[in-house]
Amino acid sequence: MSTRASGSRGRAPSLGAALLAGAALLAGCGPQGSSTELVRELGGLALDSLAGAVGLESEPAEPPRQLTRAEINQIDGALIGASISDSPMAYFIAFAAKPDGKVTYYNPTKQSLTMQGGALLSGHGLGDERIGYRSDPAEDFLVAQRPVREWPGQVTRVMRFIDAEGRPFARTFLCAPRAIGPTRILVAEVTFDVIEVEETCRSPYRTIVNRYWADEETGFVWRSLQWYGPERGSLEISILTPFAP
Amino acid sequence: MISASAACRRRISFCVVIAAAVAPAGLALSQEPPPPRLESRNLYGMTGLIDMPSARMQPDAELGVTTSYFGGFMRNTLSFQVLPRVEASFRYSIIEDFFVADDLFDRSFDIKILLSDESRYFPAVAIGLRDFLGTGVYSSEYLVGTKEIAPGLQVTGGLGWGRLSGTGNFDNPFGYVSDRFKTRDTRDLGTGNVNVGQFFRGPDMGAFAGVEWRPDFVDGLSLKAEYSTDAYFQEQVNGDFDPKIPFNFGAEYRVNDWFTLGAYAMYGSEFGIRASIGVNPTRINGPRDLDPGPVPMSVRPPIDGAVSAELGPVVERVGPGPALGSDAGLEASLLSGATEGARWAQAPTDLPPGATCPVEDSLDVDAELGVVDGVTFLDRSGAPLCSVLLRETGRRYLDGKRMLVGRYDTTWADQPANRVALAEALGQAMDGERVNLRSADIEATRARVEVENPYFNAAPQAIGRTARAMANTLPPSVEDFEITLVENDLPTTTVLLRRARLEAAVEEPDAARTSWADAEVLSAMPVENSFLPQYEADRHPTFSWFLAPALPLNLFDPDNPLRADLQIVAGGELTVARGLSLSGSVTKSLLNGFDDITRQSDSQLPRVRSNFAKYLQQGDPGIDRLTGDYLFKITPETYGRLSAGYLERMFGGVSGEVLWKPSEQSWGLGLELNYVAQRDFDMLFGFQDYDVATGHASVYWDTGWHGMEIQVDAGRYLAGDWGATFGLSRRFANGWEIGGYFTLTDVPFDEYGEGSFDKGIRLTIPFAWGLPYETRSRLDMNIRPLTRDGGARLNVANRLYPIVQEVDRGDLRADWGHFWR
Repeated sequence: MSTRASGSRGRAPSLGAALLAGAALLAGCGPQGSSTELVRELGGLALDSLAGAVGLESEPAEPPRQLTRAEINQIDGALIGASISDSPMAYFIAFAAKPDGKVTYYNPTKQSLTMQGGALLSGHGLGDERIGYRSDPAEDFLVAQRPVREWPGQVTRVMRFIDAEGRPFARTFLCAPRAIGPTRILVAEVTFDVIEVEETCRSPYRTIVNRYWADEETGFVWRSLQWYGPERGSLEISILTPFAP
Repeated sequence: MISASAACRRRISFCVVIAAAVAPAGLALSQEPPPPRLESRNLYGMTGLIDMPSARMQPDAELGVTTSYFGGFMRNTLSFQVLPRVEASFRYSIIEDFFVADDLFDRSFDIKILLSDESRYFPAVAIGLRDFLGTGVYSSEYLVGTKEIAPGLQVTGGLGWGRLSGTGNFDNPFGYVSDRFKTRDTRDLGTGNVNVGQFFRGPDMGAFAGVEWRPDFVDGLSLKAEYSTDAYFQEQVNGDFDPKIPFNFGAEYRVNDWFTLGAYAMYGSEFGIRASIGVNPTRINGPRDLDPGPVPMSVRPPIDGAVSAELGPVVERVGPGPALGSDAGLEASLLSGATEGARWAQAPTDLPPGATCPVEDSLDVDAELGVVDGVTFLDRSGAPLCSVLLRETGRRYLDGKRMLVGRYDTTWADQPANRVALAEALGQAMDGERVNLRSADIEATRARVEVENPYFNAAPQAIGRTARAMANTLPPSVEDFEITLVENDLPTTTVLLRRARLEAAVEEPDAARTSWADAEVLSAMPVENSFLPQYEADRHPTFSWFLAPALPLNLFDPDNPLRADLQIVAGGELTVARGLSLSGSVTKSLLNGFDDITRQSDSQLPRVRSNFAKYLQQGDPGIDRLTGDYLFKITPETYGRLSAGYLERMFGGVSGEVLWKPSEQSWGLGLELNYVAQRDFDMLFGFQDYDVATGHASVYWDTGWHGMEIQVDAGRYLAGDWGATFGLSRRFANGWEIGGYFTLTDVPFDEYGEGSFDKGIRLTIPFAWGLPYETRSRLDMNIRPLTRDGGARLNVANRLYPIVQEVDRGDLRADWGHFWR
């Protein structure tokens, strides 16, 4: 019995350089511009700006510091913050978008989150193999934004993962949102008057609880606590700069 | 404030429908599995009571290691739930004073098959063979049933033959059928044969029973009691074991999913203990996916406006099954040249320009023409009025139209410098994705790349990362991505992906399914016909090295059943051209853990393996391997290898191999021929007088059933004996592999010596399974009960099938869930 691991060549991915090289080539070669490309190119530039702002260049050295509202405002593009348990908030910049509203946020440590409206769809580098999400937009108030008073009493959320063998499987939750009441939250030095909603979701083998802090009239979710996966639990997501297509 | 709408009053079944609707054809999408029910094991390491079996099974693929001891009996068992209904084990036992003054070191194999599941009124029923392959010390057979009669309380009852008929016995009813069943062959210690002649035979049959209770108030606790029919006759005669009563009692505690401890009062005279470790390749162990994620994939700009000029506005009316329409009087016709196998129709109408699209008429066209994927209606002027997409296949036609009509700029491709610059940018982007770009050829609408995957345990993840990098780097006009995986310098499999389809799939909930459905998998072209010239990193000569610890084990020697050494292994590889390399490794023992091996070979055959101890002791330091190798492709489906030098620790010479294995095929054929001489025991450069021509023809077959793979190698072995090796293994998509093999040759069993024939167990554990990070490193173990000379095969490196088997269509399909990771 023996184990062996060969020394691999050390690679220090130069993220910004590679992305910007690709973006520059696209810009130089492709005749068409698009919102998606603009988001991506902007994302590449903003990512470097974000990395500089939080003290990360291309590799994580120490926990990123928290940004002030003034610093957030200086970053071009949509920005969200996410944290697991009591860990410091990590910042994600809008990096790619699809016409149907799916936006992928990316950060300098190469973690990513994809959201559609306020719904967390999938992610990378966050400790769970969460690969997708599906719901009925007619009932899913996170995907199709609507006033809180119009939020339904029950929502079906199908979250997708891959198992230990790499096979996709679905966890299907029946979720029942329940309004807690009005409250005031602080998101990066900005105060919002919102409605706090607690949502209990049940699957055959698991019960989870999500929380949303949403604008009562628009239903826009400024902050949420959403279950990401069995290993890492819930992510707290704050919208620091909303995405604008 | 929050009201329930009718649309929302749905049940789980609806959700299942949502999930099932996107269930992939190639990738089975299932709902969250229930938590596994982990059953308890007995002192034999099989699922059971204390000393008796039960009809319970472990979760599929559960692998257990159990050590138990009582009354002078130590049993060390490796057990595996081979299939949901089949449990098997290999055991190494030490029975103190079995031969009056000497201990017995015994190897045995068990198997148990679940015949029927437990139902409301009937118990689960299983049949089992204990020590069916081995010396027969524990030889017994049983039929057992287990029923849960109350929550947490299950009872077991069974009938036993052989050793399990020692107490509580009565006449073997099979004896009434035939007198042959009234007698049981005596044990023949040392043969190691399958004991077919003993199954269900003997004058008596015993009835055993037991109960297991898992109280609610202590999670993980099991209390057991049983009536045993094993009388331990032989052990009473020769040893000190003195059973007083046929009852055993025990308490077990499952500390967590993988560790259990048990303590037992045995036969009224002894105290017993058991510890079991259980792992499962299909179980998730803690956080995963902590590696850096991929750069999000960009999507090209939509060009529907340009497409509209030819197709008009596109309306989707995708529904299940064939359309039921009637004759609408349209003179529809199929368009020729529709792409990707799509059937697209054109139907002139009398409608004026700008009229409402006659969507429902498309069903008539569908019925009239016999299933089409879409219809383009023309207005009375002959201009496209609109198009109706009827089936998913039609999207490919639309994608093709977008390419043709969209007229992405392709002038960049006229400048070779642009193409090289793009390839270099792609290589840089792929560095960030931890995939190595070997070569690239980038054209106006197609890009072909060769990539190496040094990092990801699942090849589709490397393919996906490559595709993302290509989408993020290459100009919009590049539609077709051809990605060829290179393993050990061999181009193995090419995957064709359509960029538009990737863009449609990315971040969609069923992205894995759709991307697999859209991918084409082909055998890669040989190098000389490949597409390398445009961009290839300056690679040759290259040199790599490693320095690693090794922990070799010497098992089952009666003088010391478990020896270990700590070695340091240093090696290097110089690649001078593609596929042509010189490599070697040297080992130095740090602990000299094998110096006390004193057993001498008593083999009647040429001692090709049984002198292994001399190599271990005298070859320190020793040259493990020093070879020149050339790996190449003969045709897209045929691979070749030539090796010369010190091929392994005990033999050197020349070796050649040819493998025919199309990527899209589940089976392959191989032929290997070697001429080798036995090396000196000092493992340096000298040879002994023994040389032999050896080789095998091989058949490899991935059955596709529970990951079962079959391999048969027939030919001449190192000792000059002729025969065949039969291997059956279960491979999991994550790289785990557990299997067994046996070899039968023209060497008679008595001439072979103890064990009668060569057999063993292979176990491969990928490190990525237990880590939250990706790595292709893995642990390989080959557990042989005995090392003899019959049926011994050359251990040459770089055998071809293991190189290509993980990147064929079947394995890519199984792993495709990682594509977007």
